[in-house]
Amino acid sequence: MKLKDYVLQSARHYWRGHLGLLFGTFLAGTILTGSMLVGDSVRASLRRVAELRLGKVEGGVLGGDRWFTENLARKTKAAPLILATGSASAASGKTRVNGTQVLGVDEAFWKLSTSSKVFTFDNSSVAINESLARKLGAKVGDTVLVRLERPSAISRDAPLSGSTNEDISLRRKVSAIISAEDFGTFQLIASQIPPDAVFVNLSDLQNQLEMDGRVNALLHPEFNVLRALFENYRTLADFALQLKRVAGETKEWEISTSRVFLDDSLATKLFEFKGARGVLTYLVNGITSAKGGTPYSMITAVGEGKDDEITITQWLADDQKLAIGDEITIKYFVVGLGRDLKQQEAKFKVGAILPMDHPMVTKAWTPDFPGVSDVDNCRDWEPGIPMDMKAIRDKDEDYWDEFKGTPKGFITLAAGQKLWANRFGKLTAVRLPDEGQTEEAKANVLALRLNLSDIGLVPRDFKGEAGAAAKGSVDFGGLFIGLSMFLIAAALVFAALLFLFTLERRASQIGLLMALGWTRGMVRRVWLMEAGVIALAGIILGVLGGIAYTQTALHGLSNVWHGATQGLPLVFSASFGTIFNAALATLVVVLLTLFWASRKLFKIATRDLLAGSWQESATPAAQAKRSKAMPILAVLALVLLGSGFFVKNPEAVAGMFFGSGMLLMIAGLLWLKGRMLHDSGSLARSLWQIGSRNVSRRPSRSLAVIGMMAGGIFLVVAVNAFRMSAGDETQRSSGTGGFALVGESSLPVYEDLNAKAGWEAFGLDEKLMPQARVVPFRVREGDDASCLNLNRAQKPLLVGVDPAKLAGSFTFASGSWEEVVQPSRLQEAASGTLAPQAVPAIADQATAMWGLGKGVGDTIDYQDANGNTFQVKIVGLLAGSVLQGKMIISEAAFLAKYPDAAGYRFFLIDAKPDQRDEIAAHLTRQLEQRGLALEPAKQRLELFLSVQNTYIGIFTVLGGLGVLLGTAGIGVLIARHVLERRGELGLMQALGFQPGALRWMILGEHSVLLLLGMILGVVTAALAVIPQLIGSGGGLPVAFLGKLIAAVFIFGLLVCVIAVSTAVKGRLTEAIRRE
Amino acid sequence: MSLIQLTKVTKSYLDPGSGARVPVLRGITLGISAGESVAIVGPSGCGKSTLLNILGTLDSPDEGSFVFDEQDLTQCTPKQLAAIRSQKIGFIFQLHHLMPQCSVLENVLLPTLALKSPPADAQERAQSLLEQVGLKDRMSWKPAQLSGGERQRVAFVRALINQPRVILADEPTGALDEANAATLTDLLLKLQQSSGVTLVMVTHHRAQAERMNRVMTIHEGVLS
Repeated sequence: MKLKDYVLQSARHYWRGHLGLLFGTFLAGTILTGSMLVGDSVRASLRRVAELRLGKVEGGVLGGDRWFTENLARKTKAAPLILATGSASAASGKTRVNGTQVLGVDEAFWKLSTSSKVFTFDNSSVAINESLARKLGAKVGDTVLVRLERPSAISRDAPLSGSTNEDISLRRKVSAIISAEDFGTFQLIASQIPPDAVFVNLSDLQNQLEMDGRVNALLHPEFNVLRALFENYRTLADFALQLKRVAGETKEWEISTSRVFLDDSLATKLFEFKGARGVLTYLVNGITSAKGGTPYSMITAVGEGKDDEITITQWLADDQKLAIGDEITIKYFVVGLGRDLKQQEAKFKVGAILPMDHPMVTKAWTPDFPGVSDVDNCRDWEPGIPMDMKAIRDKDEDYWDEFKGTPKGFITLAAGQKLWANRFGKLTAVRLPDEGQTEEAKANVLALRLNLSDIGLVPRDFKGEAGAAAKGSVDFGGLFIGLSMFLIAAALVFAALLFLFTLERRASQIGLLMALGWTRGMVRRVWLMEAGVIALAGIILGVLGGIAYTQTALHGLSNVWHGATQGLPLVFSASFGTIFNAALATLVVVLLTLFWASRKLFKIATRDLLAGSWQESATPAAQAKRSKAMPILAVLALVLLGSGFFVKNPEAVAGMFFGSGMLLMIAGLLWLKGRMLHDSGSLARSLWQIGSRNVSRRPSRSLAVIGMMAGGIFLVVAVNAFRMSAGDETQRSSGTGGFALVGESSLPVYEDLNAKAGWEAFGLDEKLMPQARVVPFRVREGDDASCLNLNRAQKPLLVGVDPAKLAGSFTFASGSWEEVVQPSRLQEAASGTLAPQAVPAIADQATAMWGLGKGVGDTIDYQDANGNTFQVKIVGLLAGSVLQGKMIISEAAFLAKYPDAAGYRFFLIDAKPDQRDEIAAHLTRQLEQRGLALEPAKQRLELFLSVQNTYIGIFTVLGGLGVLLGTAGIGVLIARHVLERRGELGLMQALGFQPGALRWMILGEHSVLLLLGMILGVVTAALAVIPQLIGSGGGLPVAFLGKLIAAVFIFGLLVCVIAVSTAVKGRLTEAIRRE
Repeated sequence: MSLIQLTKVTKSYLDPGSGARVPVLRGITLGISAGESVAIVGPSGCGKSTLLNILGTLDSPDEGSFVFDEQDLTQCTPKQLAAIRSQKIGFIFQLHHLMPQCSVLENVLLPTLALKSPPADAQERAQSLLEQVGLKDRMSWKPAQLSGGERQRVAFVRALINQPRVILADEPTGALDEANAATLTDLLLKLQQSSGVTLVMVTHHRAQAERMNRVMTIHEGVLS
């Protein structure tokens, strides 16, 4: 005979005794396998979503505000694309969908879809995806209205950027509704939520946007090929640069840009050419002197000289009768944050007067200002700055007719830059000596010197990013294991309890084997091997159960628990590796549990095991340790409880009350153990007293039952303390920050909605609007890092705000708003812990922890407008806020990194509760063209909180099942007790006790365990949910929990009654007779 | 030279009621030679089983020395003691303690599993021994199918399977009727004599004790 034969024979022989172990293992295996397969399925579902949204796309370039030539895409064998955001509405206008993705596509785009199915439609049609079709209720043949903004080469926040409202509307017929397989869910941000998308013919959209031959994105099926080729085909047009010969004092080339101001990164490289000189031409509001004034004129800053002198044209000299040496004042606007313009002035002394036929006096100095250069009359100017049209005289119109934008004065470049340099640039042109090359040759030389990455046009590995996002996604496997933890624990305790019963029944075998010379370790190993055989059978069944569990969980996640998966279409997926790991984990966990549970039995002396007589008793040292630990734990619990009233962070408060409850429960269990081990020495005078002695007979068993009941009830009820509620949304410290409304606009809002000019721009009610306060945020597109996104955000949405406007709002888990306005953070910089370019940011705690896996002090890499990488460092965390999913930096820092980012697209709005709806309706109506959508901040916050609350809901249900399983364990315990005590019960019957009295005794002793467990659990859980009970209730499912506790009690009593009736059935005296 | 030499061995237990230690063995000195058969008799609670447990290394003395086969067992680790039990000591208990899940032959072979390298002829030896005790036809039977006497015979064979130096028998016939007890004592002595193993037997039966080479009486923890 070999050891394995002995093990297998034992397992076979005692299979009935091992049924409990088999069941417990089956249950643990089912839950573990099921949970891990849920994880697999969610991951597979996310992968599927990523595959569908990207199709065959591996890489691409996302220009955003930077438009480049379609030719560049064609030459790199990429699909050119226009990617814009707008709104779509049904022809009736009744339904409008904001934030619609508007895509300008051609055949090359469709070929990159999973199905490669090409959709063609003429310029009178568009295609829409299923999501948009559903929301608009549109079908093929219907008409839809698409509204989007005509892009501007120059930031609309820039001075002289022209009019802000350049919206266009497309009225088109729906020619096709695109399914997910055909690219209907195409989007470049990692999200499981399908976008609303409208697909427009590329040339049609280019034409409508006045962007002929230009696109702002390209897609490529091979990232490496794109990376290798992308820079090879660059031309000046891709940099929005224009090259022209200018004739002035000398022959020169001028490089200017349709963006008006040259990017510093490009200008720096152009200055590497020999003889380069910079030009900065600016529209000033007026030139005044003691002798008169001239409105709205161009002044050019170029060359060197005396910085306090100005060379004027003869026309200006004549206009104001100026002579050399006269002092003039120039008034001009400078740009602040946003479109804030401040008029400033500077004084110059007239140094020279140029005749109007002087070569210097030419309109070539002036770039094409939108709204200025392209109009016939001065009075038609729309430069995007406030103008006093009345100030324009007839002679100014005449000047415009004759000289157009010819500057009326020249100052040194240094002086000009000192006055007019801004975040968009400090030059309007660079001039180079003309050495006789052809324009084509010169353009090539220039383009070769520049890199597209200088303006942020960098190929991105979209597929890699999608993989990383899906890989780092919420681990639903781990989550479900966590949520099922109590059920698993209950299954393990159940298995361990029954295994121990078997072990105790066979204790003499352990003694015998040790007497025969087996070492303790060897005997224990053999026992665990026997348990392992049973566990393996349980695991095989558990794997099958796990598959069923997964299907059930996926059904739950698609329906009642949909809040946890936020619209992700779930597919079942099971890999052998996961099943193997789950099985192995179950085996290990079960064996470790049994190893731990049986530790005391294997310490019993061989002679006692052989004799079958041993008793649990505590050593004096253990008793002393317990008697010391109990009051310490109780005091700690009370301290924690008291501290909970002084902490503000809701999660920390919940954690403190939870911890306090848990400590008290442990203290309670220790106290009960002490009572059980304590022999009062009093005489038992009734059956009840004898019964109570039985409770103390095997303290560990009794405590296992009490602990399982108490622990189960505590966990299930107390975890609900972590249910989050929006609370009183009017409080500044609440998750809404006290703001009534929150919203986004599809198109940027450039105007200040708190100022009269902004109200006028949108026709806002000047009586109503003073009742509201709008805090606008600039937005840099990125991944939603809120818990609504199951993917791990790679580049979370970056928003810029003036922190002063949020002072006193929200509750910080760490840090404060002040942190983000200290970009230098001298101390940290001095100690070298803060990278010089690190931008301090505030994030919501849930965003940082779950969405990004980061904490305070961690950094995230971003790329600025010039393609340079910079770090954003988390310096503060908001507790449960409506700002979830975003990285919040100061507006100043935002604009320093993204000077071109114009307007605001995210808003928090302060309003009195009774005016909230009126203001929301008014703003939404008046800013319809901008696609503004507002909702109550409380509603948005509750949406975020619903994810966490759904998790707690799942835990409550699974934990509830665990408690019921624990209750069933009491039945098993009774059966086992009675079985063990049949002899003594028979004796009592022989002594004349009625069977009914004995049943009541057994029922009584076990009901005491049930009651003790319940009381301990309920009392300690009540402590944990105090904050919820004191507050608004926080969605605490009081009714459900009440029902659960009642069900546990009734079920427990029922189990006791059934177990007692079954176990005491038959003639107990038979047992004594046999003995 | 004695195979077993106990010198001034004392043993006491903690009284859970008073917390005081209750002496069970009081300075026992005992020498047993190889091949000898010794009976230990005495009233209940006098310390017979405690003495046997100490001899079987299932318990350790509080004081005194215990030399077995020229080895001081008071210095051994539990692992070493287990090895000694498997190689040099055979146990027979009042209750047979057979594994119900194993056949007769498997029960006999159980001690061989404790050896690092079980002897190749273990099964043949087991079969031969079972034949000697009249259980040739019962080798594949389960203990539940045997009578009380047959079960105890299996326990005898099991005690001999590893060719121990000593067999410690704790009232081996205590659970049997007188006739069966006498038969089994005969068998035990026959096996002891044929194998030359030392036999130490605790018994209440004076008659059985008288058949041993030596009878020692223990009273209130003192051997006489």
